[in-house]
Amino acid sequence: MITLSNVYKYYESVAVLNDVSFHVEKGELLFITGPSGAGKTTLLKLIFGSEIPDEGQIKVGEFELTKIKHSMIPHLRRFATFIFQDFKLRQDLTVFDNVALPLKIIGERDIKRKVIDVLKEVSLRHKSDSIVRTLSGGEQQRVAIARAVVTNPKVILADEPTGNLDPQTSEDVFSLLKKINAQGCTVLIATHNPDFFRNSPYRVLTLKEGKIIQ
Amino acid sequence: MKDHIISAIKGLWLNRWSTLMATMSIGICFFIFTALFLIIYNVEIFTKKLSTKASVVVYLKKEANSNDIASLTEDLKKLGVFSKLNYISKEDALKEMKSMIDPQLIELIGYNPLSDTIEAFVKEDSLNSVELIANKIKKLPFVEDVYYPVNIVKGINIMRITVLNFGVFILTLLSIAILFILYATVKSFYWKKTEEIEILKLLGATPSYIRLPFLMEGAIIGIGGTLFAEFCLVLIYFTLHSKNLYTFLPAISQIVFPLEVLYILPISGMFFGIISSFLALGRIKYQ
Ligand SMILES: Nc1ncnc2c1ncn2[C@@H]1O[C@H](COP(=O)(O)OP(=O)(O)OP(=O)(O)O)[C@@H](O)[C@H]1O
Ligand SMILES: [Mg+2]
Repeated sequence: MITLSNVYKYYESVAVLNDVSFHVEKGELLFITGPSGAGKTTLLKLIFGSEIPDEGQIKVGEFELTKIKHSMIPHLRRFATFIFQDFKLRQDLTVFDNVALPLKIIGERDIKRKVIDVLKEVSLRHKSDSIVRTLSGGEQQRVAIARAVVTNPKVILADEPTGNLDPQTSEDVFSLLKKINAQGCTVLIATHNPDFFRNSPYRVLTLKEGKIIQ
Repeated sequence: MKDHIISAIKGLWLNRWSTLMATMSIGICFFIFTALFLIIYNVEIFTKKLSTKASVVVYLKKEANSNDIASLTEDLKKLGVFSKLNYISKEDALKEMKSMIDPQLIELIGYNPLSDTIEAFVKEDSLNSVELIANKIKKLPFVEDVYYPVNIVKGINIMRITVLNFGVFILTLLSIAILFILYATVKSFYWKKTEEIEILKLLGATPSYIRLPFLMEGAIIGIGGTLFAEFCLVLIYFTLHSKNLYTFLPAISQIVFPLEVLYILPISGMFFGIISSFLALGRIKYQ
């Protein structure tokens, strides 16, 4: 599903990713961990096509990211969606409208039903008409997840999805991602919280200073 | 599509003062634009009317008989610069004169003082060389004299060309001004929405999805401006055609207002809006 081969990424001639290669199977759930500044976000951004690798190949589904045409990037971003560390929600819109946005973009008809269904799944049905600005951090996090899954993407890239949540809410968010993965979606989770994967069966990729060390 | 229209209208409402300012400025530009166009258009029509009346009158010698006249007519035709030739015999000329002047006065002279003439209408594209043509005709046999309204013809042409050149120059400047105003307005709308647009890009929106509301905003402002201009024009048209002015300046009745303007204007306003918005947005970058 996702293959990186000998990927390098430099910021101001400092290698943020240094010869990174790995493969993720379809339907897999993979943790990417490592200390702050290790390059986790950069790695996910490369897979999402918002950064370009300086060297190496990246393949996501049928998309060859090193030679991807500009016009194909929107399609890549429907194939693989991103849950951002800072959510990137429309603070001025309601929960419903935020989750409906990707459906409108792809020209979906049955918007109302799909949004309500996914809001139920993240236990936010009752907040459907609330303005996002008024929600707590954990609730916004779940809106971001709902927006990422509502179009049934093949891949979800979650960057620090439990970043600033209390242990109980983190656990809920994590179970939600596991559930989505169980439905066949490939999930990559970048996190520096080892609690999630310590006793889990999932594969863990550890980055340090841009290199895979495990 | 419906979403885009709603989004465009919301955007305009959010920036209603800029929208109003832009619409008015463009409206004023379009108003001047159209007024100027109408002036050029009317001058063209007016000069065309005049120039079809621009004729060279060829006075024939007394001894010319009908054969001579026929061959002279042929010669004139061969010059290829006349659209129409009218032979007027001195008898006809006298008749016409009698209809204008008291016939008794003419009787007093005792004989017909007029000569046979050929009235030759100059083709439009030969107007500039009318002087040369007249000199050529003077040298033809049986030609007594040639009369032509040289200054009028020249004057009309100079006026026409001046109005046309000046007009086109101003029209170009106005078009650029309209494009700039629309460009700047839509660009400012775009900048205000950079965060929204960033989010749209991250959610897989195509460039056309992102552009469409802005193109619509540009188009709406463009159309709005032209409607404002049309309103002013119609107002002025009716003021000009009010009775008091009419009797005072009858030439006003000659002003031609092509009704096509009423729909061509909004369509061009729309195109101006779309084109300048498109330029203002530039390339939508994802990386
Ligand atoms: N646009 C950029 N310009 C310059 N340097 C950058 C840029 N983006 C990231 N970096 C640098 O790249 C390194 C890796 O950043 P990245 O965000 O990938 O780390 P991370 O592993 O996600 O860290 P965190 O756990 O704190 O989110 C950092 O040292 C950061 O300063
Ligand atoms: Mg990060």
